[in-house]
This record gives sequence, structure tokens and C-alpha cells, in this order.
Amino acid sequence: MPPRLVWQALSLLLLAVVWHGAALVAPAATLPPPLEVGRALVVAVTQGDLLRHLGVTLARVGAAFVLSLSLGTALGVALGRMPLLDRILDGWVVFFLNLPALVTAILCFVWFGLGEAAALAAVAVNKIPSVVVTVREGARALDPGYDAVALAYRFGWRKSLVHVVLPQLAPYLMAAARSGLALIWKIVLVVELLGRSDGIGFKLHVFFQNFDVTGILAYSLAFIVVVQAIELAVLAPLDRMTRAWRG
Amino acid sequence: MADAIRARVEAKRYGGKLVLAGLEIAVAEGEFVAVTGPSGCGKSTLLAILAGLDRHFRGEVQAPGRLGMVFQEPRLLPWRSAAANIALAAPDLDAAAVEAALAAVGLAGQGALYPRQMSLGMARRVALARALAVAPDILLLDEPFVSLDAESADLVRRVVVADWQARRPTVVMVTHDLAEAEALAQRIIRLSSTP
Ligand SMILES: Nc1ncnc2c1ncn2[C@@H]1O[C@H](COP(=O)(O)OP(=O)(O)O)[C@@H](O)[C@H]1O
Ligand SMILES: [Mg+2]
Repeated sequence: MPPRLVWQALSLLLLAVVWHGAALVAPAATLPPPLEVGRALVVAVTQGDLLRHLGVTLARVGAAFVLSLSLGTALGVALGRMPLLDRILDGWVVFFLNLPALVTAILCFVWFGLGEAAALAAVAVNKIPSVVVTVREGARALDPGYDAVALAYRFGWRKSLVHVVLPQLAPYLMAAARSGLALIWKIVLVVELLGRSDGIGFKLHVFFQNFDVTGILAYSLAFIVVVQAIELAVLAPLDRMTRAWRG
Repeated sequence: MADAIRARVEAKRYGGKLVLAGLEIAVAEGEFVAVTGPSGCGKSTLLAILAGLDRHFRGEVQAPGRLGMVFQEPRLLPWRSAAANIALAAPDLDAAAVEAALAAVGLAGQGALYPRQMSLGMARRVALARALAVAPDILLLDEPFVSLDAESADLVRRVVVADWQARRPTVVMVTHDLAEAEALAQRIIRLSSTP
């Protein structure tokens, strides 16, 4: 096992120990010890509906992720390559960048009803601006020298996109994707808590009303594990792949 | 013989700075022309105009046909291997033809290398192989021998001449080396600095 992983495991173990220590001194209902949360997690997976809610939330995260990344990338490239458009819309980007997730979620539900579309829109509106900023940076950094190569050798737009533009944008897209995953799932929970009747966020709401800290921690734990697994199994290898040529 | 390239550049500016002015050039089909002039006089700019890569100038240019271009820097796509760089420019070539194109510039078996793994001299030879791989009607070369060791320079020179003799593309070669120009070209166009 590489030393970095050993350290990470030790670090998490330390967290569990500190947690356990804190649970010993805290009143029982406010902070259950890690083992009890672990047991609750197993029960929720095997007998409860954790997997169903997890699936629902992941589907929302996936949809919001694809929506935000694709719209944000298109907009970011456009702004990065068209200075006039950039000047006109820059204020908008700043505005939406600073709009709290809670506000967009509330407004989307008020305006579009408590539906799935409103939920997705709320998440996308929150994430798109930061994708735009990241990708715009990448689009500004595109080397016109390679455009000249593509033009001289008649690549056409599709080949240019795949072989000239995207490889240069890849690090920026990866950065947007990784920070996107981290941000989106948190916003999805807020949106679910406010206006959906399934998903992890909804369950957390129910646990909150019942003052069920064990349930809250068990569901959170499950979700952290899944999101980390996606990061490690999908995004990190993808990142390495797009960097391979740099050596 | 018909002209392969006709260009009239009334004015080319970068910002306010006039780089080329009152220039008229005609190159006959199959002719080998050298363009010389002091550094910064607009030679690379002229090639970009002839190639149709730079349209921000007053005047007009006609240079129809397949283009092969060796830029002043190799300008290989860094995220693609040497072979892939050639194959992208010349999609009709199969793997064996790409390998042959590399072998012709002394890089047999090196197709898997990425630009960062090559010396400048190797990268420039791949850039030349890329330009020749498209079997260009018009071949534009920007200082193709600069910063090559004597051996590589000699190889590049022989490859260019061999291609010209075999296929008779129209060649415009930028160089600041007058001896080089006289040795290779049928005609020399001298650019002077625009004040
Ligand atoms: N993209 C550019 N922006 C501004 N000035 C440029 C640009 N490219 C070239 N120049 C200027 O135009 C002049 C001619 O450049 P260039 O065509 O590269 O000359 P040469 O190839 O003869 O050395 C130089 O003074 C150079 O500084
Ligand atoms: Mg030059």
C-alpha cells in the first residue's frame, strides 16, 4: 500500500477515535459513537431504504452535473473567445456566482413549483457560474498557434474541437468537474430538503424533525463514501489520463 | 506557366504598427522561391497571409490547393504523438505511410514519441514530415534550417529538395540565410524592414 493511503487510513482512524471520545462525554442522543452509527448504516442499507434514497440523490447529482458542465462549458468557451460578449455578461457571472444556493433553491421552487425540473434548475444555476469562470480561463489560454495548424491542415470544426481545443481545455474541465461534484452534491441535499419527498436530503430533514442524530450521521457517511468512490474511481483516473502526454 | 500564388498586400498592421506595405508577389506553379530579409521585417507574417491563416490585412491573396506548412516553431500538437500529428494532418495516410513519412526525415520507429520527448531538431523534422505528408501543392517553409545541427539541417535540405524535384510543388521558403536561399531557390524575394 502506498504511504499516502496508509496516512489517510490512519488519519480517518484518528477521526473515529476522537469522535468516539467526544461521544463518551456528550449526552447520548446528541452524538452517538461511530460504531453505533456504523451499525445503523448497515441496518439502513440491508433493511431500510437508504439505497433507494441514495440512488435518487445520485441520479439528481448526475443530471445536475451533466447539465451544469455542458452549459457552463459552452458558455465559458463563448465568453473566453468573444471579448465583447464577455464584457456584456461578466456582471451576470459575478451576480450568479455570489447568489447563495439557498436563494436559488427557494426561488426555483416558488417560480416553477416543487418539481424535479425546478430542483435541477436550482442546482444548475448554482454550479454553472463557477464552471463558466473556470472554462473561460481555459478558453482565454487557448494557443492561437494551434488554431493556425488546424486551419492550415484543414481540420474542420469537429476535428479541431476534439484534437486541438478539448486537449487544451482538459485541465480546466477536470478542475470544473472535480469541484463540481464536490459542490453539486451538497446543493442537491439542500434542494431535496426544501422541496423534494425523496433523496438523502429529504431523509436528513425527516431525521432532523425526529432528532435522530444517528440516522443523520449514517446517511451522511454513506453519501461521503459514495461520492469519494466516484472521485477516486472515475474523476481521478480521467484526470491522469488527460495529463498523460505531459509526462 | 500559371501562377500558383498571387498576393497583393497593401498594408498589414499589428495594432498601429505597419509591418508589410505595397507588396506584390506572384509565384509560378512548381517554382521554388526564397524570401529573405532582416529579422522582424514580416517574413513569417507574409507566410501566414499566403497560407490564408491571417486575413486581417488590406489586399488580397490567391493560393489555391493543398497546403503544407512548416511554421517557424515546430507547432506539433503536444498532446499527440509524432505519428498522430502526421496522421491528423494527412488523414488519408495509413499507419505504414505515416511511418514512411517519418523514415523519410530520419525518424524511423520514433512515431510513438510525444513532442516533449523530442529534441527541437526532431520536432522540426516531424513538422516537415507533416507538411510533406499531405502531398502539398503549395509548400511554405519558415526558416526550416534554423537551430538545427549541421547534420539535421543537411537532411532537411535534402528532403525538401527531393520532394520538390519529385512532385514539383510550389515552394516559398523563408530564410535569413542568403547563401541558403541562393543554393536552393530559383528566385529570391528580398523584404526590407518597413519603417
Ligand atoms: N501577433 C503579433 N502581434 C503584434 N506584433 C506582431 C505579431 N506577430 C508579429 N509581430 C510583429 O510584426 C513584425 C514582423 O514579424 P514577423 O513576421 O514574425 O517577422 P520575421 O518573420 O521577418 O522575423 C515584428 O516586428 C513583430 O514584432
Ligand atoms: Mg519569422
